[in-house]
Amino acid sequence: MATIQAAFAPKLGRSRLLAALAARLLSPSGLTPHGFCLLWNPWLIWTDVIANAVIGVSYFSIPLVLAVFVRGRPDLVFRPIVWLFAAFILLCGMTHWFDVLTLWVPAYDLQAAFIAATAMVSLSTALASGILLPRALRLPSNQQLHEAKVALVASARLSALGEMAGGIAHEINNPLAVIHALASDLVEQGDATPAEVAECCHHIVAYADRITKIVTSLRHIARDGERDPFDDTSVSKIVGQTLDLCRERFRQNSVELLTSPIDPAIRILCREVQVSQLLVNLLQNAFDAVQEQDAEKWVRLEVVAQDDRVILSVIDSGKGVPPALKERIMEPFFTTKPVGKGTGLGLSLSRQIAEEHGGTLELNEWDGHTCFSLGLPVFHHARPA
Amino acid sequence: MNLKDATVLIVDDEVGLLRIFKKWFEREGCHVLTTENGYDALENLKRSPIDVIISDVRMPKMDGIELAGRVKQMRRCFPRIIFLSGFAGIDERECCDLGIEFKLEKPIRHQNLVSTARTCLTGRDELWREPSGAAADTIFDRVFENLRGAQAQGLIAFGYGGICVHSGLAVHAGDRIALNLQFTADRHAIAGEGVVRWTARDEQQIGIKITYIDEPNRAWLVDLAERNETVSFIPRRSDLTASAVFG
Repeated sequence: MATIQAAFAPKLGRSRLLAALAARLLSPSGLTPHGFCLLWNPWLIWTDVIANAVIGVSYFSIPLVLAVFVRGRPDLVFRPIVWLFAAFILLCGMTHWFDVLTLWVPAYDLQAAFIAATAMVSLSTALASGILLPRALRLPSNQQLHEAKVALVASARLSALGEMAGGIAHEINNPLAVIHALASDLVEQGDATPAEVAECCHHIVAYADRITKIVTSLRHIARDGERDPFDDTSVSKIVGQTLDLCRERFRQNSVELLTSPIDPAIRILCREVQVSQLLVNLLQNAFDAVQEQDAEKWVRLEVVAQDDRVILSVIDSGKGVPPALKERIMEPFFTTKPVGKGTGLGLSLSRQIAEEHGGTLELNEWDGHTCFSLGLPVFHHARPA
Repeated sequence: MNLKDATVLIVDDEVGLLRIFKKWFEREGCHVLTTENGYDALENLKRSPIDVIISDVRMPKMDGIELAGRVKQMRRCFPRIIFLSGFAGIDERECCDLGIEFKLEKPIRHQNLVSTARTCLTGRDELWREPSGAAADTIFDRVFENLRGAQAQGLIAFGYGGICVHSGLAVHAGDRIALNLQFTADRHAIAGEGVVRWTARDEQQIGIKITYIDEPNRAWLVDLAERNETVSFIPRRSDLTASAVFG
């Protein structure tokens, strides 16, 4: 092309150059026999050339896009078939370029070789996609993945609670046994004085109240609070309810649960259930960290108000988090617990809940001990004008 | 032993229960001690003789299982232990091996608890006196040459309340069983009735609580049981006596 242009340029203008080039290309002597056949209508040959060239260019660009896509998505499944598709499309592109080329150059041998290669690759692609089809159909849809994620989050949220459930059952059954014993004694005794009966009933009411309290806490926390409205709540109330649920499990396993009184005036704007769930989760983690060790076993829950924030810290007497794990500990699905013991979603979900509340969840150190600090904004009532 | 002469130790971390159980047993004339955990119970046991321990299972500072294990290590005939728990999830075989004769569930009625304690203190001689009168589900017939030989071969082991036998007999926990185990050279037999407390089919082990022994053999078997070589109610394996006695 460059030589043609060089040869004609000095003598002719641009349009005349193109016309001369076209005339040269379409001269019967320059065309191969099947190109010559198409000459009976020059439109045929131009449509053929232009269409094949466009197809060829497109077919070359599609594998390029595929290559960029495969490299950019390391999670892609069935990668080999994508490469097979790319090769198939590339070869198809080549056959179109050959259609153009062979109008002038009789490179039929080479064309045949490429067509044969295309045939093999396209057959392989067809077979491979046929084989893959059932597996491809089984791939979960986005909707299914979303549903699975929702279910997993729900189970992670309840798993910490489940761990506490054994303690809770005991916590309910014990006062129930006392009530039963007191009442059955009254029935069997038969001759109790009114004063004795009154005293007995007084005890029964106290123990029934204890059960009511734990059932209320349980009913409160064991539900999905994700869509609850944010409400103004006392921190001491949330902490109190959470501790009611956990205390028994700690006591059963001789893990001391230390707390100090919380100023009831500290209030936060929150989804109460979620904050409780978050605290149960932190307490459960702390419990797991100290339970296996022989050394002193305690978990401390500290609540400190600083300016406009309240910091709820869960500190444990465990060996602490190894430096290598500190970075990863809040990642979803990261867990150091044995299979079946933890989903690895606890801390990442907890952090998510903290952030939804405009707060933070951080891993700190407190006197050499592990300390998870939940910082939340304190809620102040608007002063009446 | 009569209940009114007995010392009862009640172990429970629920103070309200301790208070009322203490009242129940004091009404029967017992000497009653109470503690809130297994550790203190053990301390009590070192200081004074105790006939029955009524213990919760889940407790802080030494639970009921560990307490029973420690009592077993003392290798004494008494105290007898009754487990009183809110949960039935304790392995029956393990319990019998630890020497637990009764496993009761909370909540419990006054009559039930007191009569169980009374049964614990009753001598086997008296306990095994009356046949139940009910039909047996299975008959367990075996002939051994002599008792020592059967024990040495690990075919039978005695607890103070029953036996563990090596057998592939198809029985289930709770089955009533008619016993006829002959020891020809000794001219004795375990002839009477029992109830299957547990089975371990894979190990061919069956734990049988004895409920009745016929007159001619009773004194002989009571003596064997009360020697309490395995320190169990029913030992967990039939070859345990072999190692304990001859090992």
